Amino acid sequence: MPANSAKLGLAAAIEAKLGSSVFSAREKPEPETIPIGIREIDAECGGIPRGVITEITGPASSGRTTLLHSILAGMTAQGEACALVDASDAFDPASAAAAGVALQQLLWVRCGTHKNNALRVTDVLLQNGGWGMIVLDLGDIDSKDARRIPLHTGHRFRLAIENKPTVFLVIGQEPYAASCSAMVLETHAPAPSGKDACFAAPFSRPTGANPPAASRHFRAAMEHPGVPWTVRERLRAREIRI
Amino acid sequence: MFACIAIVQQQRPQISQLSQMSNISAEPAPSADHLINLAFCFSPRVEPISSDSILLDIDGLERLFGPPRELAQKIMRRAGELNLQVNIAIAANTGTAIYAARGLPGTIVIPPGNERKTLSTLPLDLLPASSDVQDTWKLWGLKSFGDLAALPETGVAERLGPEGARLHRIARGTESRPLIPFIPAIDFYASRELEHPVELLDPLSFILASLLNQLCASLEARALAISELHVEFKLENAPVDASGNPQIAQISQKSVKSADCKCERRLSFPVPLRDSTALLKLLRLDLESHPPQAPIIAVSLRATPAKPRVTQNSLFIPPAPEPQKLELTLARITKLVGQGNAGSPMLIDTHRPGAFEMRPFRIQQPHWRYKTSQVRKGTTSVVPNAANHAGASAPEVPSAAKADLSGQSYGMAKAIPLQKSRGLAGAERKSQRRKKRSSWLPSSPPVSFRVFRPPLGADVQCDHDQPAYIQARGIRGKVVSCAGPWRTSGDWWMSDPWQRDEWDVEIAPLSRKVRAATDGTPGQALSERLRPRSAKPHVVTPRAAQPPTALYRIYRDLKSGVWYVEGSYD
Repeated sequence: MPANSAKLGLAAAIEAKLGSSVFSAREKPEPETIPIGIREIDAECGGIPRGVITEITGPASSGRTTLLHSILAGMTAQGEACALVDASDAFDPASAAAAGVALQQLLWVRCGTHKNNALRVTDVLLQNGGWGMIVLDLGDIDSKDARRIPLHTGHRFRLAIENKPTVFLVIGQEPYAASCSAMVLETHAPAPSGKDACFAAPFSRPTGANPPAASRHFRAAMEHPGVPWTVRERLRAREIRI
Repeated sequence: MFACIAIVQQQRPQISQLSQMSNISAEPAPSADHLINLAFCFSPRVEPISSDSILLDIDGLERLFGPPRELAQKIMRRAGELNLQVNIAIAANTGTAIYAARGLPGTIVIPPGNERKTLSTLPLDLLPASSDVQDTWKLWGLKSFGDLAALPETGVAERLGPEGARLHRIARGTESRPLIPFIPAIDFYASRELEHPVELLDPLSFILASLLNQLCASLEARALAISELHVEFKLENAPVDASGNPQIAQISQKSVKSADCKCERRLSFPVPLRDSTALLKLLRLDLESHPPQAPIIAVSLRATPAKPRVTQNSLFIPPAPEPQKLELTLARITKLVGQGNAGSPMLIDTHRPGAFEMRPFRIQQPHWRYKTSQVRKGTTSVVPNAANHAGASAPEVPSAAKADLSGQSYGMAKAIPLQKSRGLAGAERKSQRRKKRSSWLPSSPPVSFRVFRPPLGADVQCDHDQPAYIQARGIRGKVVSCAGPWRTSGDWWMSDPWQRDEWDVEIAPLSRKVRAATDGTPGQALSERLRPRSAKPHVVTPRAAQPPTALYRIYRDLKSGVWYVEGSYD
């Protein structure tokens, strides 16, 4: 590359004149990470990084919300203030409480179906600072609508979150932040399991609780490696498949 | 040294009975107000004894006003300027100062040791004695303080009790008590009348900013902050409805609007604020949401003072949004999404599906406590109080849900438990510590649910009393497997009872070919289009194509018979 060679030549000339210690590599420090409870991911990259955009993407019933609630439970357990910007008003406090989320530590912003409001609220929260985690939930927003989110929004969010000790999660069906996200965690819905694998038979279920029948479906998916999680870590440009 | 100022008898207001020495008059009369103002001109520590006398602590005032006699003259001069005719007595104890001022005319400075001699000529009527005691004194032939002081103290105490003993001490000039300083209630109020009516928010902001600056400065001088701000706008003319009556605006949670050309707003802050910029922004946001109905001609602000919140950050407490900034942020968010759409959800103790209520979001400081056993050993460690903090969500789970969830991991409830580590091997202790560190991570988390608000109306085709096909907005497919029904009902004693059959269904979305077939001709009933599996040979089973499936919770309202999709498991 001529540009590279020119740059190297210029650097060599300056070093020859001023000394070898003129240019020193300034590496960006690794962001602090928090474990998310998936052994393989925690072992590989330490969990979810702070100060960058992390996306959890996948189709419906692929375990995005379960993973989100698990992370929220961990964060609120540490006493960190968390904010959930719910673009489609889909948050279920009962199942979050069952997952261990301390609801009094959580600010839930219901934006109805106004996607733009959700983006504005996220902006306001990012500017405020001091949050342990901010979640932008676009999980039920149609992919076509979500793709209309201007690209500069992601850049703005990235700059706003930079150098802040805040975990910023974006939940969606597809990765929307494009190159602005540092990590993309893709969840995959399992293939049809059939009656034998998923539901045994109608069994008693107390009101207000999560059905154990459904939980089997996901537990199987989460516990058995090889199916559900793919992590794309843009920071280190590698892909982890579990 | 103490000084007592007493209004002379002719000017004294009509008082039925002189109050006790230790009692402060509940509501000072106007002359008492003058007396308080006069006293505050000379000493910051004053105590109104009654409506006609006031006590001053004059210790340390020599350098300002000179010796006690000079001070007494200055007080007398100042009282003359205020048209008050007063007696002033300065003594080493409070009792002597009070009764000398009440009984001796002009100014008198009683040197220490001369109290008994000075008071001896005063009549006994000045003492606040009960009628029985006064009758006894008459029987004994006592007329002055000197007569009473001449009696032996033990004998008086034996015959007249504690009251008699106290009065005897007063007569001898030895009665003293500490001064109880009077702290006047300060009204933090600022107002301004405008020359021209103001209609726009920006010019009004300048006025509000200056008033808020005044308020904040006076609060800062007293180390106080604002817990509630009451804003009152005087309007040029009240809006009038068709019948000619002044309109009363909608009364919101924060505001009270009256029809007499006034608009009132009341802002309550969970954390006392003293930053005028933040207060102005909050006020602006509130006024943008609730604008006055007419031009403004006068503004007044009244602040309710409170002690400012003092927080000290700790290494062990995670950072949280600044309370002042958070208030502003929440106000901005509320303006964007509407009242009641931003806050902390709280579960209600009911079986009604999806019941919750929103509460204002407050930063919860985690409760930290020290492990006493380790403190004794000398190795102090701080851990979060799992019972109070981490498991705080547990009480919010409905009682019925708790039974089912007991077997699942309650991430928080198990968070970093306080366990005794005595008697464990080093390696074992290390592994326990590691476990503690990661114990908040649920090993197999319960499946989370995403709610469709409102629930989607669905067309459901049943086969052998089980859902076979479902079509709703954005959801269409064949039921691969299902579980249910779970019949639930409740609130039958209320106006909106609920009764329904719930199913959990796994839906495989139809392939394009099948979708085209099921779309059918216009006018064809969905139930006809979505036939059971056995009766529709051209349907490609999802198992063959292996597309991803989705799990939904559907229910049939037993009152109306309509099917709904409540949400999806995700």
